[in-house]
Amino acid sequence: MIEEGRDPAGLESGQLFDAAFLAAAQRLRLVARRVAPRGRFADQRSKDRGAGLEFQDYRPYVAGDDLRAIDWTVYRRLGRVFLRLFEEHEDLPLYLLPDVSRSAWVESEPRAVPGLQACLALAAVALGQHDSVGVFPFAEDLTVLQRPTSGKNRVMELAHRLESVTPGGETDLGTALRRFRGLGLREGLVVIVSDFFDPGGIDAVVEALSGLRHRLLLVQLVRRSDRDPSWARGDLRLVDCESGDAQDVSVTPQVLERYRAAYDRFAEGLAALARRRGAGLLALDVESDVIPQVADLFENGRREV
Amino acid sequence: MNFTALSGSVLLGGLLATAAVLYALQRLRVRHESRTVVTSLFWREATEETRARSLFERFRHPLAYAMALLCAGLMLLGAGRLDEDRDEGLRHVLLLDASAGMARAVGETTRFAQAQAALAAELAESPRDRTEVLWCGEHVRTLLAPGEDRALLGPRLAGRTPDLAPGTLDRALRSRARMGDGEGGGRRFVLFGDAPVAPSTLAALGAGERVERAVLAPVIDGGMGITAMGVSEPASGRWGMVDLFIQTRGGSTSIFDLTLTLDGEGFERGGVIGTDGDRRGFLISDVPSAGALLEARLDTDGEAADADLVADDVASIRLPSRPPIRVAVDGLVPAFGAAVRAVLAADPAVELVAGAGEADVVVGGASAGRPSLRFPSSADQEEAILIGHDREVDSSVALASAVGELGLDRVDASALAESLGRPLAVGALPSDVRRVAIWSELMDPSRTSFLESRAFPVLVGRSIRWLAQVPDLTPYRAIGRLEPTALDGARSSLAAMVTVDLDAASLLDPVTTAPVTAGVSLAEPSPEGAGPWRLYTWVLLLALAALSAEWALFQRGRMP
Repeated sequence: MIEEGRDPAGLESGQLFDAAFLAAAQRLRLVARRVAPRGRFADQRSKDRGAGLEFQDYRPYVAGDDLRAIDWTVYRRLGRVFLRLFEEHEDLPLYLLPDVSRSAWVESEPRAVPGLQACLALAAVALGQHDSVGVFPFAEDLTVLQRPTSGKNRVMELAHRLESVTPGGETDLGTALRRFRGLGLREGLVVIVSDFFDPGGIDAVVEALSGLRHRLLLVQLVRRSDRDPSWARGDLRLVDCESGDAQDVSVTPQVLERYRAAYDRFAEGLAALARRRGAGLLALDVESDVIPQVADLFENGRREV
Repeated sequence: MNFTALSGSVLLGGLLATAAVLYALQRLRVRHESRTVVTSLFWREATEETRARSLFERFRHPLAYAMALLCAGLMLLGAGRLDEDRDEGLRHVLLLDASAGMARAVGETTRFAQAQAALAAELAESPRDRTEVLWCGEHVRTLLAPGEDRALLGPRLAGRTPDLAPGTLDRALRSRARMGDGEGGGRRFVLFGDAPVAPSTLAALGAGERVERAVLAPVIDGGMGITAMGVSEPASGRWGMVDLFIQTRGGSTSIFDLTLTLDGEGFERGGVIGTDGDRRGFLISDVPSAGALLEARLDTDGEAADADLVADDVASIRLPSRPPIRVAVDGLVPAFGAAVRAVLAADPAVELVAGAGEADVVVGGASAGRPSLRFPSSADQEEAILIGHDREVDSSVALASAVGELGLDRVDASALAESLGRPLAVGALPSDVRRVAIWSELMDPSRTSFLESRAFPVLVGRSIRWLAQVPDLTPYRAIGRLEPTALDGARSSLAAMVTVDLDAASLLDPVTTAPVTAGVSLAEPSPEGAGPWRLYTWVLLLALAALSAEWALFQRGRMP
């Protein structure tokens, strides 16, 4: 439900998270298939072979190799020197991009709240497994709320930071992601939490994400009334909360049918984008509890990205 | 409003105008309710091909327009009380009985009010251009002419009460029947009231004409009232007295009584002299006639005898004033002077006085400017009997009247002419004062036997009364009867009797007093489709159904 004339005022302290929420979030585990090399030591398997604990392969010894890695048993059996290679564990940078545009705030129950809760849940998971987490809220532009940082004890700090986000203006995912790319961050997992209601439609979203080389998880903030606007009846002047554009509509069953078709096309376009990119897509119902929905994302408590 | 009063083209024009107005409204820019949405992205896509209505854009909702037109059209026809006109060309004549009997109280209302209500209901169902409303009271008048707006009837009837007169309903019907049906489409007469219709009146109607009587609430009361009242010369012959006759109708002698007062004082009265069905006649003899007001009241144990129609429970009449006629006798010849004196002395109306100055009439001698009865010689007067009458009366009329008034018709003129050996003539001439001159030769007992005839005292007595201008008494008067009154032969109307002779007019005709409708029984109005389920009722129900369907479609979002 839209509150006419409502001015997004951000969040109050403690509004987003409580202890139970954080405890539930930390039971989840985010696992990368492979993380980019040159990261910090963490729980994620990297492409590098190094001093990890998990055996991965053998290779012939070459000059300069660490003698501690020689497998003497193989030497005794075969008479040749091989090195045991162990998987290097590095961190998975998690970049959270919550949508704080006006559309996320104007409703009586702003969808920004569950969106930020989802961000914190994912951040808690990442921090719990020594991954670094950065937060970059966006609307028509992108801001740096939290540079990538790690440490389990940073969850509360991050929560406070998320509570301090400032509601933005119009959604411009293209500009925001260009700015994000410009930050030159190490490849990691980008989680975009948004309704994806870009004025340019799904095409603008696709275009904006096309240049992003990170792994991707899309969290779409949805509400039941997005597809079935039961409130729509009669002759309406619909004003876009972000652009202020007015659209006169005489609501008929045919118009509603076309509306649903348009919405379905949008949702299908977003799903197709996720499939093409090998990205995850979570349609987060903002009217339901966040944690169970986020937990569903993690099969057996794990989520490979 | 009734669309049967409108032509088909006017009705069709109204519907087309409604359609045009609705069409214009459909094309008007709608007033949108403003709503803020998270995004207008999908709405924009959804409405790309179905833009909202705006002025001069293409017509977008034909089905909605058709439904609105159906609702408006049905409501228009229903509100206009569209009805079948199965009597095409038939003219309706509605006759409102406004006779005295319609003043009868019926519960909280009156018979007249009931008739008015029935008339209004009937009028609403009748085509305006072919409906006429007549007032049938004392006179027949047109209340509403064909084509006049029905709204005019209310103001024209406002404050009107029935006339204190017998009904003219039958007369009006008869008159219309005589006039004939000019347009030939047939006529339907509807009577609103109780006045009877004679079979002869119905027989005079044409082939395409019928008479119906509107059904009014039945009157339970049996009806009882005074229907006739009058005075006459007393049978006793006493001057200054009158005999009073009263006729009543309804009830029985055991349940009512007749109270008579003279200037408010009660007096002894006579009894019933005869009955005829429920009619009863009372004769009161020798009522002192000195200009007093006599009132007759019908009572039942001290209560009004006929509580429903009080107009006929009381009647009053001003009795004539008849003082003795003072007559001075002088200069009569002995030959017939004694006979004249004897006649005058025997006349109870005559009081002989000594001097002509005190007399109303002078007999014989010098009249001193007073009415006189003289006996000149045939040498002085050409006519045997010469009448000097009022100057305002034509001599021929006065002479014709005198034949009866003076009793000249009783004189055996042939015998007298033969006795005198010359013809007898009667003449009249205008005079300042009345006078009667009779040949003295006629009175001579040696030449004629006139003094011995029965005509002589009559001629003398009536001459004295004519000279003294004693007013006549009408032996019997009753409402509903006509009688000759004036010399010119004009007949006084019923209303004239009421206003002239009765101070408090209450006499009603027997039919009016008796609420039982006399005459032939008539059919009741039975317009086709009468009752609550007329055509317009169905039309209104259809309109209601259409509105409900539209509302249901709107609620389900299937109609903009």
